[in-house]
Amino acid sequence: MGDFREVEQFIYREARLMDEHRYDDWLALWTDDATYWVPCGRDDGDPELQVSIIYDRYPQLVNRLQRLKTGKAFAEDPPSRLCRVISNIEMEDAAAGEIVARSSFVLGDLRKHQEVHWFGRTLHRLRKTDGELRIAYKKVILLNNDEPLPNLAFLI
Amino acid sequence: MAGAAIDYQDLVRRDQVHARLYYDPAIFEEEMDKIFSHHWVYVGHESEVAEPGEFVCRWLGLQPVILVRDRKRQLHLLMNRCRHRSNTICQVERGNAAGGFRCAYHGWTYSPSGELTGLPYSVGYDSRDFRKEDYGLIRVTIESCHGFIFGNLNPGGHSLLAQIGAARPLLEQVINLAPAGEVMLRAGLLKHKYRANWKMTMENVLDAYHPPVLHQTAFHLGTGKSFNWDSVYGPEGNARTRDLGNGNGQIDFNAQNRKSGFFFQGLKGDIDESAQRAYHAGLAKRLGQERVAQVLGDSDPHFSIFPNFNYLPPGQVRLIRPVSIDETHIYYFPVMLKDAPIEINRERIRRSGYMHGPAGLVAPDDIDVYERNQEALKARQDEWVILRRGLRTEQREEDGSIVGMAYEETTQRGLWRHYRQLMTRDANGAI
Ligand code: FES
Ligand SMILES: [Fe+2]
Repeated sequence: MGDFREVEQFIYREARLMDEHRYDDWLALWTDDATYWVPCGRDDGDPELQVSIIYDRYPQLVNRLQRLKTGKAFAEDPPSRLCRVISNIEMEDAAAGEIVARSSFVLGDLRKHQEVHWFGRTLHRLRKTDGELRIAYKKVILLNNDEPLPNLAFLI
Repeated sequence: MAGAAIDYQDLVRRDQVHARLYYDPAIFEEEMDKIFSHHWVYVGHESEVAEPGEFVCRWLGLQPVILVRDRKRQLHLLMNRCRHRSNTICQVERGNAAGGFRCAYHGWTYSPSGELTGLPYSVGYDSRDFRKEDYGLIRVTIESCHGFIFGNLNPGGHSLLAQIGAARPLLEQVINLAPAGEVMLRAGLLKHKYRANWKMTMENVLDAYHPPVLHQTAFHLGTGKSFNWDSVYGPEGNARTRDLGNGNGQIDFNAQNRKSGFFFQGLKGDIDESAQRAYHAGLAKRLGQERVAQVLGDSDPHFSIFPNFNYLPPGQVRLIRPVSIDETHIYYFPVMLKDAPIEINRERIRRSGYMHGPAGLVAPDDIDVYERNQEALKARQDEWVILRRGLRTEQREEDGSIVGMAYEETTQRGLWRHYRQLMTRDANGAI
């Protein structure tokens, strides 16, 4: 059984890195065969056959962050101020020594005097690599994934 | 209280337009009538409602409508309004109503084609002043071109094909990319919203002055830093803006696409060889081998049909939905090519979300710019927004279209010219 405390701390730390726009540190949390999925219009389905808000393999994720790091991704200039609260963490062991963690979040996003509130549930599949937890798979189910969304150019 | 009539001749000039067109709610009201109730408006694609009973909810301006295929496969555009006492009869954005629609309030039922089929306690009505046949859902005129369906509340003798005009070959360019000669918009849709006027996005989508600046980060990822953007967008570049008439316009990348494959969308590289070969063979079967290279070279066009339809590489339809003077929604639909290998369509779907949509690498920067535009329009010392680039150098071509360099405002001028005609036409809709 994975160590619950360790998983919980990992998820909190990931949240803080996203809040603080620490792109390189955040990228270092992922395995290089990772998948990152934010479904659109539904909570499930096949991301190969239905368009997604985000559906990145590791190379696309690297590009996404590379763009943000230039400071010329104008949708994040100035950057959003972010504060997220993570809760309802559940953990279970999965195949091949991986750990599945489920959690919920509330995220405040403030930019240019506009405050937007985001809600969602996250599923992480975590893998121990060289003694450290890494994200092999992350799926974010937004409460409003079938609604017109404002820009979502920060990390979720 | 009726204010003075709005003088659109004065607000929309040949070389500049007035800020009021973007911020005055009275103008928005008039647009909902003169444009969105008296013009062809894009509502959806036939493939979205391919099966009997399938429907999607859409809008003509602010008016809610249902695009539905009936049990005999006939398409209808129905007002989403119960004829009893006004109630939306359809609460979800898409689904199947083969069994008909039922109003939750008092239980009137309608067939998928809109006829009133039943009502509880119908004895309450007297046949002298109530006939069921008269109380079907209100139907809106629709016409379609290559599967793209437009509705018009008051067509008044204007046909869709006349409105599409010189943009029609571009729709053909789209369907020719599919081995079956048909596209499918059944891979879901992304929805984006912004706090600015709807016309910002119609102008922006035809603006080829901004991409090398605003989208430089995304472009560099697509091509590497060494690519010379001036060779496409600059004074020596081969991209053009094209005013197609009727408010329609194109950014013409065909010359560049034929040269290199489009910088971002070229199908080369990301898709395995055997799928590409199967795709080419499929195209050749329909078009003949000689035309395959040309069709692939031209690739996905970049154009718009006034007032609310855009088509963009890498194969995406956008439906623009005005919500208020300063709120707009955009729906983005990946365009799949019928009978193309699944690898091709998967890649088109993936790129659609990766580039555009709320978390894309391109569209959010445009969206942020519209909101900056709207904010800056509150500065009222100089209220003119200028449209003067290339005014003296643009050329009229044989087919009547007007062509400018990529960085010129030829297409925006064309859009506004059509807008002014619509907003100044008389009560019978004559221009
Ligand atoms: S309002 Fe629909 S049945 Fe009465
Ligand atoms: Fe743009």
